[in-house]
Amino acid sequence: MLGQILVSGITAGAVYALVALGFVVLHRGTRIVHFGLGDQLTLSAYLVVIGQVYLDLPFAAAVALSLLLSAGFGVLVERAIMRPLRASPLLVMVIATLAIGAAIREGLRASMGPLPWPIPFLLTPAPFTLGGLVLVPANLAVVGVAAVVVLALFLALRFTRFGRAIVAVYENPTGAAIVGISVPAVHARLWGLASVLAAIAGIMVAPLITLSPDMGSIGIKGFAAAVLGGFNSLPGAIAGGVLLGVVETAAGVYISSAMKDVVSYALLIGCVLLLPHGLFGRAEARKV
Amino acid sequence: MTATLHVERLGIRFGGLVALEDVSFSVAPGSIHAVIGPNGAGKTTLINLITGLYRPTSGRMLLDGAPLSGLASHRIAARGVARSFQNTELFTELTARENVLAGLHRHLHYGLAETVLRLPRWRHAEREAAAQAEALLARVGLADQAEVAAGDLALGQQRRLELARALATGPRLLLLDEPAAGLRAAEAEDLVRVLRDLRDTLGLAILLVDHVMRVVMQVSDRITVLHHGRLLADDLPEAIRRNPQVIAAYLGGAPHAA
Amino acid sequence: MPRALLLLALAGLVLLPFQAPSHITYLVALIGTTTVIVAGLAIVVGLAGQISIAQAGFAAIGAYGSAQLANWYGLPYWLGLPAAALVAALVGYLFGLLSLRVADHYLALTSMAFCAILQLLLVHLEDWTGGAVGLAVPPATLGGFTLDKPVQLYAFIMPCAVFATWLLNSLRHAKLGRAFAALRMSEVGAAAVGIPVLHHKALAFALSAFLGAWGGGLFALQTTYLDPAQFGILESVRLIAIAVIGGLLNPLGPAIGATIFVLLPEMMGGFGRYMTLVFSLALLACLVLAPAGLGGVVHRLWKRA
Ligand SMILES: Nc1ncnc2c1ncn2[C@@H]1O[C@H](COP(=O)(O)OP(=O)(O)OP(=O)(O)O)[C@@H](O)[C@H]1O
Ligand SMILES: [Mg+2]
Repeated sequence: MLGQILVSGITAGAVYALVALGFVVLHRGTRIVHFGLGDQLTLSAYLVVIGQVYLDLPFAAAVALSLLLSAGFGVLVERAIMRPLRASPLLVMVIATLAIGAAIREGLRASMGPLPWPIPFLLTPAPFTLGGLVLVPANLAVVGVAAVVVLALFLALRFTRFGRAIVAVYENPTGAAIVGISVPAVHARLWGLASVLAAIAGIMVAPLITLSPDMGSIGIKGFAAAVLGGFNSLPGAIAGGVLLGVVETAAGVYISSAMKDVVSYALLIGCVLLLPHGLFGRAEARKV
Repeated sequence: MTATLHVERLGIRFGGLVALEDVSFSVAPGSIHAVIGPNGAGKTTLINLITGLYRPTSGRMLLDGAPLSGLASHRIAARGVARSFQNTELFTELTARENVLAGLHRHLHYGLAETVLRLPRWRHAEREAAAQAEALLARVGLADQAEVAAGDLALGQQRRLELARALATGPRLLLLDEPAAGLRAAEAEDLVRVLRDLRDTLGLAILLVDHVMRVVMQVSDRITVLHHGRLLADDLPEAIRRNPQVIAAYLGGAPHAA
Repeated sequence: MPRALLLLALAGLVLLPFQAPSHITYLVALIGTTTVIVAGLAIVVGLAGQISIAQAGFAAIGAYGSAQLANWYGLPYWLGLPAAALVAALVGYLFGLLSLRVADHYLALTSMAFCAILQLLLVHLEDWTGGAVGLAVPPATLGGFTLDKPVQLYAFIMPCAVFATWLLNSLRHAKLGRAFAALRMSEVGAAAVGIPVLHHKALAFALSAFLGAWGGGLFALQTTYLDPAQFGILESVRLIAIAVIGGLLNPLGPAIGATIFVLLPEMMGGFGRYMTLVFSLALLACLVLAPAGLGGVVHRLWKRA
């Protein structure tokens, strides 16, 4: 039983971790929490469907197209909306990202209809057993893809110019600007990067749940994972995602499946209250 | 209305950094007491401790013998301690008048129902408050700026508005964090006049933190010098002026005695 | 502000049900309900600057609370509605106390999770709420009469909307409203002049929850059928959009926003399914181009005139 909970929990957790990474990647560099990121998951998954159904593309090409467009979408949002709002109060930015989410959701509802769409699995869904555990290839693929993405992200941040510019902005935006890094350009890239992370999560999770315009509500789970991880730490986001996935799955088994979501939201509130810097984050004090 | 402030063996550390250690001095009632010291000496930290923004790691503060340590900021304000901020903390979108009215918050006694129904209690209290606000703005020379948003005022005017807002709370002890910084000579003269007026007509006890020595030396009844979080000297202005340790600290040399 | 114009509008509101078809009366009353709910947001988000994505949850407390008090105990609405609103205010106050620990993004998140939990409870506590199927709302009665015609509800709702607007206006000239504004702009500044910041944040949430629940109860009477889907995060976001488009700091903002959001979809007819999309985009445009909201724009024009 415990093993099975771990396996299912880690699958869900891998998706949450990717979403959480999206939040954290963006927040560390831009100080913005993107409340519409969940809806970007939905948008990217729909882009795959659109590629397949309307453009007759093979699955892989549709996925590639979706990732590309998602990155472009993120950059566009940064240029057209967030950059002009850069100096606005936090409240305005929060409302703006909420509105971005609403626009995506309602745009999809109006154009693609309110009903769920079928979307192919990455692998066949037929489960097999191994050492008493029921394993689903599609789920394993989710974990595998997530692991590869995380690895690629860490390597990119460390070893590419693109990544090092981002890290420089994380550490010290003023300093980065002084040594000639264009902070607005990095912000645009961060939006693109977060959008791609969300896209990967969306494309992987859509077959496991249902692809409808409201799928973006899974974004809150990503939030919860990011909060657990301290909202500023990339490894924290991953640990938070996996932890949330496992706790939620356990709650579904031991309490009731209906209360599963209540538990993860309560965990979010509890964590915000008791561990405002998460399990891994550090405090930042304000001087007067 | 005045008060005595005793600071006893006060200390605070931020992580490994010792911002204040073992600082003791007293502000006499009805006096202007300056606290000076080089950048980072711990002057603002001292004011933040007295007003409850920070909790001391050791020692205590007494206002007329009653401990302030552990009280929330708004309760300390209710005891009659008002302050200004080094980087002003005005309500920037409110007008100058509304800032002062916000300072009168604790002296307005009416409820939401009386507000909504516009009952006499609300009307009288607000009318009285408006008159008081006008007088306070006049006192600091901002009578003509009453309807200007605080954020749109010039820096010197913002400082004066913060003073008016602090006075509105009806303080016994006033803590001012670098009120003279960035003021032109004429404005500094005005400030000196206002501070003396507050001491002599209202009898306030004033703790003045500033780097502008001309102002400090003119108005202070007593001066405390902090250096690297420690008390370097506590004496009359004349004696401070001649104190070799103080001179050394200001010239950048380390003082010999600890 | 031209007082005559406002009096004229009030007179129009009084005369409207005698002249207009009942469909219009219903819509205007819906604007009234929305105005009450959004007025709450104007207090907590606009005045006090605390981000709340929980307003739909508080509306749910009012709607389900007053309906079930009538269902279970036969409590008339004129008692049940204030009772439910007071409970919501208490919940709102307690929620507001959480702001001791969290602010800004985290507060927004927490309120979002809070709203999600409330909605999930509406779905899963079937014995109490009717679950996902929903709940029939018993009509209000007054001294043996049943209030169920649009005109009757209109007569009950519109004074509430006018009152909520008046309340917003009154706050601007009172210590409470100034305390809210003060803590929005500088918490340390507010505390330094003796304003208990935490208490006032909680009060802002309480007032906001009270109005949200009150409006929710009115909404229940109008729709006559409650469904958890009406009270989720998305509805909270829609309410914020109404508040922002109307103008967060204008006492008439909630009414302006509500009018736009209720009437435009009606006038658009077949274009209706794109309405929410259009609103979201309008909201974005509004934020980027006119941050004070349409209400703010109107306000500015008035001042100039
Ligand atoms: N909240 C805080 N967290 C960490 N360190 C702090 C904090 N507040 C003050 N300090 C540190 O305490 C020391 C004293 O700072 P303080 O602001 O009191 O100096 P000051 O005497 O007011 O200097 P200045 O004349 O520049 O205003 C400094 O080293 C400062 O960095
Ligand atoms: Mg200082």
